[in-house]
Amino acid sequence: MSPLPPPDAGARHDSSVVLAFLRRTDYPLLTRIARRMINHLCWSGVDEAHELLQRFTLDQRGIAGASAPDENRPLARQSPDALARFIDDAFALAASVLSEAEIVSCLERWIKDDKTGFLIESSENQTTTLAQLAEALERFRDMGIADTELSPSTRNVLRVSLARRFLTEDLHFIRSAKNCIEVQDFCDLVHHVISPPLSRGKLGGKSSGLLLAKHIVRTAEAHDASLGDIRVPKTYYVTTDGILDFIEHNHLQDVYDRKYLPIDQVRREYPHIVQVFKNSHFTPDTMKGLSVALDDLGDGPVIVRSSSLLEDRFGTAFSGKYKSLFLANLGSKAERLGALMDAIAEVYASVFGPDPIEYRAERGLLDVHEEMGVMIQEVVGQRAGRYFLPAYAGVAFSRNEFRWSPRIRRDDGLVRLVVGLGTRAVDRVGDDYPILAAPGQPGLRINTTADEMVRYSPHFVDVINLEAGVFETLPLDQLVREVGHALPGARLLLATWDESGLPRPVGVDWDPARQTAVATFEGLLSRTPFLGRMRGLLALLSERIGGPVDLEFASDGRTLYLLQCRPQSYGTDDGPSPLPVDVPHERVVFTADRYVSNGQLPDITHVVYVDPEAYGALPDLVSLRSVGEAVGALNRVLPRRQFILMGPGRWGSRGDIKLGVSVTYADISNTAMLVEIARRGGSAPDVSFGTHFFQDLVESGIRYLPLFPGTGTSELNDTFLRSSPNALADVLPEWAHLAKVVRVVDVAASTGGQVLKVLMNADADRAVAMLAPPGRWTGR
Amino acid sequence: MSTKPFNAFEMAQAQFDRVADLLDLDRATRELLRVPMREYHFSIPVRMDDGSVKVFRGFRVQHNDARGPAKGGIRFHPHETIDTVRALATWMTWKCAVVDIPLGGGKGGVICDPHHLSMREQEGICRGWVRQMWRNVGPLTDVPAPDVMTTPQHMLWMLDELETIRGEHLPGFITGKPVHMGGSLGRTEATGYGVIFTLREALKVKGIDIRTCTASIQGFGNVSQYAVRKLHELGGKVVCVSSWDQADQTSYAFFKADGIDADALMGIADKFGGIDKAKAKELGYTVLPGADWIAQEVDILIPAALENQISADTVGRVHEKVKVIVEGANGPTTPEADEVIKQRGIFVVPDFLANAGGVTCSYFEQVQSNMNYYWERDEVLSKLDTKMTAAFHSVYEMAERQKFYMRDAAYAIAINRVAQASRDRGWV
Repeated sequence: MSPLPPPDAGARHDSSVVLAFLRRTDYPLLTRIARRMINHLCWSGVDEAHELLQRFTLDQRGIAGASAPDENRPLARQSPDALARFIDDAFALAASVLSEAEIVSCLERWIKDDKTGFLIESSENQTTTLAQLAEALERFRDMGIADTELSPSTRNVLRVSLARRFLTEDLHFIRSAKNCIEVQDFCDLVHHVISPPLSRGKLGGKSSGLLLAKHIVRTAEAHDASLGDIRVPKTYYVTTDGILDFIEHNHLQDVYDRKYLPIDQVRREYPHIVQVFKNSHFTPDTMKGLSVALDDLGDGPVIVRSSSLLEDRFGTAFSGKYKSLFLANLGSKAERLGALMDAIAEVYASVFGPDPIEYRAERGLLDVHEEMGVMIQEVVGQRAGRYFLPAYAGVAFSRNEFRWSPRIRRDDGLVRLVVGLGTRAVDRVGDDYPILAAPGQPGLRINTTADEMVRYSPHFVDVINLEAGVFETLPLDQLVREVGHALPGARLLLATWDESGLPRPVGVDWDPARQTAVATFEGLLSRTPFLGRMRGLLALLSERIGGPVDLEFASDGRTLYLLQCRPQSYGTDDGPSPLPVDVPHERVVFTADRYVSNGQLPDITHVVYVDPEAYGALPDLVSLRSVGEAVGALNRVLPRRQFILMGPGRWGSRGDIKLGVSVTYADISNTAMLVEIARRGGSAPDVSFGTHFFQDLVESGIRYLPLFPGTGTSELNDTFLRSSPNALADVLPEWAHLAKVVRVVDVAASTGGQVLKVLMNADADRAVAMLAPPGRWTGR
Repeated sequence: MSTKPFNAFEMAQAQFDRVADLLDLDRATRELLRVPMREYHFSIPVRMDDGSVKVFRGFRVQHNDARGPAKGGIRFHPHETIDTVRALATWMTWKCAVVDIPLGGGKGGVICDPHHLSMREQEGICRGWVRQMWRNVGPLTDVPAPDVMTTPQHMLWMLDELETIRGEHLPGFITGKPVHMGGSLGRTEATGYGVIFTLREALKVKGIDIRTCTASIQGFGNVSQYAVRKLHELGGKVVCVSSWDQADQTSYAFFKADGIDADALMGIADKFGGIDKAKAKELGYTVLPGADWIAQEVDILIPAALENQISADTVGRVHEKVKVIVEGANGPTTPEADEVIKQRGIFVVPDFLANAGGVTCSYFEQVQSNMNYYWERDEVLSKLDTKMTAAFHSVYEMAERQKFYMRDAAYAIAINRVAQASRDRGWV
């Protein structure tokens, strides 16, 4: 059947033809449309429409004159004549107040709305299976109607109910999704969904976040060319109830009670569960779905990512708690399918692992029903020698919690970049350094000297070895020597140093065998619009999602791919801490009100306080240096991450030692926090922001806090720090002669068993260090 | 404990006063050399990335240019003080004089922290510095170089600005340039080779055959790596080097009785000279705690890493066999340890003589740039040998003649040369 020409395409609009046609062929539809027309006219402020509606309603009751609304007798059935009269009157009235074109447009939209009734019914009815819903979506697609042609209310109800069925019940999420995920998108999606035959599951948190971001970006790209071409890799989704099907099929129901066992037992039995899962079987239906997916994904590497119901919701990020597994996807179809199923089984088993169970217990989510969806996604990258890897990958955050300069605002954001697969950027790796940049301050670099740029650069790279068929970590040097110019994006990422110490981006004259290259990312950061795009992307997504986000991305050197998007999340002790009110003055050790990041140090047992005045009065270089040595010695003996270091100005000062204690990272590596005290009334440049070892602090989770006592509301309790007994001589008798400068406060001994809690809240830009009984501070 | 806080310039003046007494300098010469001849303090307005203008404070101190154009680095430091810059300019005067190169001493800087500035803003500071100072600096007036938190890139911006203002090419204005922009070959080797040239001469005057000598070196960075190679080339043997292990956050010493192989160790070291200890064991090295470099039974110790490594605590560990200490690093020996070394009769080649290979090569760079003709590497290194050898002998002769400790003799000869030049010019 060829579609009718649009109303304004014809030489004339004649609604009467349409109405006559409907009267003959679909009287109930004509009735529904007449009702909508009257409503439409009422909303448009046509008084006669009100009267008509009222008259019709009274006719319906069969009583002339007023009647009480709460009558107990049944309504009279309407006579067909009255209904026919009502229809005629409605359209006659419409013809008198609306243009012919407008009437035809309304008729067309409402007829289309009416035709989508089956889809609304299918998606609203919670007993419909995903397979039935998919059929309904197919039927909708065949109708050739775009959801923008529907009336707003119908469009909304469809988008919302589909988002609820496929993605999540989260209202916050649905609010964003209904503005950008269209009904047609769900039609496309169902071709990439693998589900059990009677599935009523969802795609899970991670998948939903990524889909939402993908469509937000798609709608924005049309308006903002600066975002460029941002894509999402080809992805298949196994629904969350796939795991239930798997468990039932293999009679593994005894795993359901795992979460209530003592955590030690969970930990002990987990390896066994993993093996049991890996030796179980998938249903033929699921295998068929996976096989189709593999055919479409081809033989490039894929990643199997968890996407559980609880994952990536606001406040419960489950970062790194569930598995993500890379597959080289090599060999015969049977081998590739076997490896894929093995990986999915392992992701399923991770639901019963000790880490997520502990995480859920801590957040009171143990009793909440959890299901595990899976994303099967092609890995972004290209082949370089025998390896497969993206040029670069990383994570980006709307909120920058690691500011290394007072010029960086929290909403300038942060990106962490690595060469190769993004696994090394997602987690802190301790012995390696991703490149950090603030998209809102694209010109500022943490590392400015050649030494810093080399030391704090990525030294390792995660790749997929296509010969061995495994995911592996290589020294970057080794990879660069082996693949040289074939490294994707080499010219954007790598630099060599000439004999004078001047960095040069690698170019045609680079000889990988002779010249060591370092990943500085300078080309990417300063010669491409990358940071501007990231800034735009973060701003766009956080605005549409309604809060700060974190993203994972990768690039094959040409195109930027979005891999994950979720509300910005925090670890147990990294989130904004509740702040106490009305703490008695004598229990406060210090408060800060500038450049505060988030977090909580709940159990500090020792404070090492380098008295700024006594330090400044030291007469010679040798004594100034010896303070740094004493701090290094304390770092070796005090309990790891349970002491904080407080001292004047710039810790690790390399120039004028008087500005701060001369230490290297090795001298402070065990502290929980580094506090820099500006001179009283001093300003920002007095403190270093930890720049001398900033990335060491970031990667090892050591907090940094500058104090500006005497400015704003910042306080420093000199009395406590100076009059508490100094334990230096007990801890390190050989350094007792520095007791006037270096004070070691054993908090429990000085306060009768209390600890020091440092509570930091970046939203309030405020931190409080207070003496309190041991235990986590919850704000109560 | 005195309550007077540490001040670098006062320390430099006290050092000068002591040597001035040894040299019996007259009052006018003392007054001239005790303080810098010229100091420039100026403002550098820079348009920041956000459109605002920020004014930075810049300095240049020319301590003394009686022997030639002032020479010294430009530092970017957020808390630079004029006294630190004065002290460093003074030391540059003595350092140039001790190796007898025709340059004076200078130092400069800007109060800023590059960590908080974009590259464009840093370029603005560099060009602004030259706009303020161009009348008072130049290849024949005052020659800067990279220093703390400044890089060759900063220097090239400064060079470009000066050349733009003056309308001519003046590569001799800056040293530490890349080779293709007028830098000198041999720069990488210069300091390490210089250390060994002075060591070779020290052994000669002490009548020790270098081919029978063993050495232990602290550090495995640029200086140490080239020192090891040169010493082996001369027939000596380095049996121990120490290096920092980034992963373990501690240092280790690597010992091999029949001599270490610098090339093999560099093959298993990271970019900072951190040696892979597992691989070193495979190569037959004994891995010891880092501090053990000082306790080796060797003839020669070369501290070539950090300051204050031979201290009151560690000097007792120096083996009785040790005859010579060559200070490759700056300030590796504390005053207390220096006293012990003096008493034990160990011969010391002091830091600002031993590691002057670097500044000597900078001088060569300036000479080559000024004549726009560049020497081959061997020519640079051979001229370096000549300079370092002559410098050593001047200091040694002074020490012998006046019965000065080598460190005092080095200062004495440097200060005496500057005083002499000032007198020759009729200034004092």
